[in-house]
Amino acid sequence: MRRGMSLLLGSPRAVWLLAIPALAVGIVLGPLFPQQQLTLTDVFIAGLLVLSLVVLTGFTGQISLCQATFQGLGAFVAGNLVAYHGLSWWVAAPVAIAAAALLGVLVGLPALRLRGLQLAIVTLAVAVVFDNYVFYTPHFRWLTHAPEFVAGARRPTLLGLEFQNRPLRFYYLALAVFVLALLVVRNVRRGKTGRVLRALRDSEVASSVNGLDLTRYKLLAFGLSAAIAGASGALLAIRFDAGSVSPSPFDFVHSLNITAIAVLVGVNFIPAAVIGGILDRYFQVLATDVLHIAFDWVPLILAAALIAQIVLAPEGLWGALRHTYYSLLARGAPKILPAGSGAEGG
Amino acid sequence: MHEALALGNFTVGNILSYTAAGIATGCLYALAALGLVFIFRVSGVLNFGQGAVGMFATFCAYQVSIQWGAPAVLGVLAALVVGAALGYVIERFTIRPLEGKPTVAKVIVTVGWLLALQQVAGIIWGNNAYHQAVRLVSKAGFNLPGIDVVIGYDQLAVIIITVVLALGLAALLRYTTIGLQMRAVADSPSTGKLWGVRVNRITSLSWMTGSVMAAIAGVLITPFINFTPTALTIIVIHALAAALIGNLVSLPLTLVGGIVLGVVENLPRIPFGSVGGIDSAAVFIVILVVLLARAKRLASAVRTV
Repeated sequence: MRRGMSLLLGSPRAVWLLAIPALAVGIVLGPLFPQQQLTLTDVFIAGLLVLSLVVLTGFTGQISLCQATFQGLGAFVAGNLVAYHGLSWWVAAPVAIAAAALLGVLVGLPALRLRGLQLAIVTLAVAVVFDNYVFYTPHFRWLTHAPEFVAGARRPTLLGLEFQNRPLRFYYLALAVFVLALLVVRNVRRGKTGRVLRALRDSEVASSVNGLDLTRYKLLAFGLSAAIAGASGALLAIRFDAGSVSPSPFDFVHSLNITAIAVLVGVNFIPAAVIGGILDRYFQVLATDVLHIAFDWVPLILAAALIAQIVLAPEGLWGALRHTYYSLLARGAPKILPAGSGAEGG
Repeated sequence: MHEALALGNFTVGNILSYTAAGIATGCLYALAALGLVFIFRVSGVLNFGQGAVGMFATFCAYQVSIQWGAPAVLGVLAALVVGAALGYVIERFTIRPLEGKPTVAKVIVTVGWLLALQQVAGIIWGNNAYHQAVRLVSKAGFNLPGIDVVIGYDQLAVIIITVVLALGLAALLRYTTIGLQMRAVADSPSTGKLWGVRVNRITSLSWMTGSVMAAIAGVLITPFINFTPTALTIIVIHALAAALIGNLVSLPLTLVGGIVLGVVENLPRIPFGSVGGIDSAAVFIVILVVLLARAKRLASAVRTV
């Protein structure tokens, strides 16, 4: 009996023991704390952004410093289509996701022949050029509606259910999108694509010698990552009841911050996206309201934590937790197993 | 009418004065980029915090010279000390412990420093406030003979300082023992170690040198731009672009790359005025073109490090 328990706790399926209660908590948390609903919704939106980095950095080892740019493109496309072209969000959101995925593939193109550093340079340049130029200049008014920016992107209805001015329903919409994205990423990881991507991460030469199509899979990872960031942006477009989208959340520092948070929580692990989302939203609340640290110092603490973490715990928060969990399990195992076998013998 | 006006802006005088301004800022990009390439060649780490280190040192100069009213020379001295200290601390305590770890981890650490320094500077000196420039040289200038184009003494000083520093760096590498050791570590740290080179000390020294160059570039650029923590931090993009033109290894090509970049990003200002961000679009295009054209050679450069 105890042996079975320990096998269950040690198996890859153990994550469901955590995931199902976590989902249940997610479902009841919204109605329980009405005044927190919008912040909790933001947790899912930020969690999607962290998840997008799990796909890119965690699965393939490529680094991106422009995830907030993908998010911004998704937000502007969705917001623009809903506010000025009369489309429903249900139609606009997939278009926004596709647009972000397209940009992701374009950004990934130079990285096809190279990896690591060059991609970091290109993505940082993308983040800065969108932050300084594309999102602000009237040259791109058709996209951003600059200089007054997008306003009036209404939330959609679903089977007669109205989302506009209904924070709880919007909360559930964001939760649903987040859970869906988590499932997609988990399936990708467990399937053939995931295995190929990990092979690529570990050795490109070995993968290509074994006949894997590097180009296709790298671009796939970029596209999927950017698409998830775009979905986060599509949600952000209808976050406010006024349906306003402005470029300020998509500045290059935010991109860098998201990468920092993703690495801090453990970019190799899918569940880390949940922690990343919570950290992104609630670390600030915790630091300012509970610990009474000045608002300005919060990002600094995060940056310092990031540097310390890479030096001291390279697998990140989730990696460290996971490691502790398995080593505890392993320490328990030799004691449990002989006792269990003794009971069977008797 | 508007188009005629815009075209009319392309006069010989305009082109010359914008080019001169471009060469001056380009020299400073080149300085920051030389430091970046120097650090990369010796230690194998691309320092994304290069702009932030220069920025922080520059604001220390601002604190000393403008806030406390000390002579500009003292401010510059403070910037040099702070730059060297930052370079040392970053390498000694956050890069050296990562020996043997993947490149991505080291890049993320430098990104962490970028965020931390930018945040601290924002808290102390304000991100949106106006900051008075630290001036080493007077604002005045002289007329080019024959044409009505004014070249500022500060622009001229920047060009001279850059050339002198670049030559000094080349001489250091070529004619001194330390330079020889630096080249040895750049080629192969383990072989260097076998020949008795103190690799750790040389690596430290290269980070300090590279960071001091970022500090000099930062202080000298203050009269030319509206300098804020973010604006100076972003200079890392210009430095990276210039470094890419030099394949991340060649110091002379990096110098040329920085100057070309300064001119390329300044010329679109003639027709467009100072439309926000048009210069960063120019830099972005330069980076893309270089990466696409040079992909193969860059790959081999990175692999040898």
